[in-house]
Amino acid sequence: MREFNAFKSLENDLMSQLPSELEPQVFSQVRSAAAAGRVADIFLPCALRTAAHLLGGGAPGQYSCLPPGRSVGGDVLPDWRRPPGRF
Amino acid sequence: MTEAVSSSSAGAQPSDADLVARFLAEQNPYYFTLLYRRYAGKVYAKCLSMLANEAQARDAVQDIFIKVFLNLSRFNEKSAFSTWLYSITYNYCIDLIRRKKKMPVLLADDVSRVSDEPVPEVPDSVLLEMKQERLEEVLRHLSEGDRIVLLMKYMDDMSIKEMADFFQKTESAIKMQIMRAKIRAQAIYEQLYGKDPLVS
Repeated sequence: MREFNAFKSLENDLMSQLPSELEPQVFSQVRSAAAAGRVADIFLPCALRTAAHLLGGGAPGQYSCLPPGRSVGGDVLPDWRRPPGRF
Repeated sequence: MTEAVSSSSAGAQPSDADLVARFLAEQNPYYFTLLYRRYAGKVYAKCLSMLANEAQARDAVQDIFIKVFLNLSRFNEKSAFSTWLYSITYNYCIDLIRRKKKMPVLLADDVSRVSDEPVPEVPDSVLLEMKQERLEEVLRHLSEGDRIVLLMKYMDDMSIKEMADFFQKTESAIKMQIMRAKIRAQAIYEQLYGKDPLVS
């Protein structure tokens, strides 16, 4: 086993010069990247599916990215309710 | 987050692979923080050795850890996490130097054209027993290609196979490159300090 390695000694010396203010900077960027990633995770698949649907010829209202039961197209009336004057 | 890290890092040290797996499973930044604290100094040391510029080394550390964060799911445990991280670090530095100089870093050419010439053996001790500040100066005068192979071998303890994988060259080509880098380092030392590194 060799006692002295100038490379390791140089590495230790350079490691000790790591600026401490770097860590908060890195993690602020990591948080931004993570947030952007989450937005992309939610938005991109939906946007791509909608684009594919529209390019395929479907009408915009026919396709929704929202989960079932959370549709925003609220025109469909429940069966039990008949508009007045249409009997 | 900082308090949480310091309080729970008092226990047993989890392995790098454990930290990566837990981070990917839970998306908890605490595990990434541990990886950062474990390796930021080493990455900074490599960037500083390669780039010889503090501001660039600082920026490099930031960019490299963002890159690691974004690509952590691609880490496949074929190699150690440290080897993967150092590969990203060296690739980043090579790209930066290449862009700065607007010319290629000549490692691949060096490696491929060396096979049949006889090369005199330079003992490892020539480099390992140099005074630290002299080694720093010698490294600064070497080409990027020579600097990388020497750092990988003597600073990172990378195996010849890992280096061959990194450069996509044969193991014998890498051995030859290391030998040549040692010869050039010795020559630079003699130019700068006028005598053999082992005679001080």
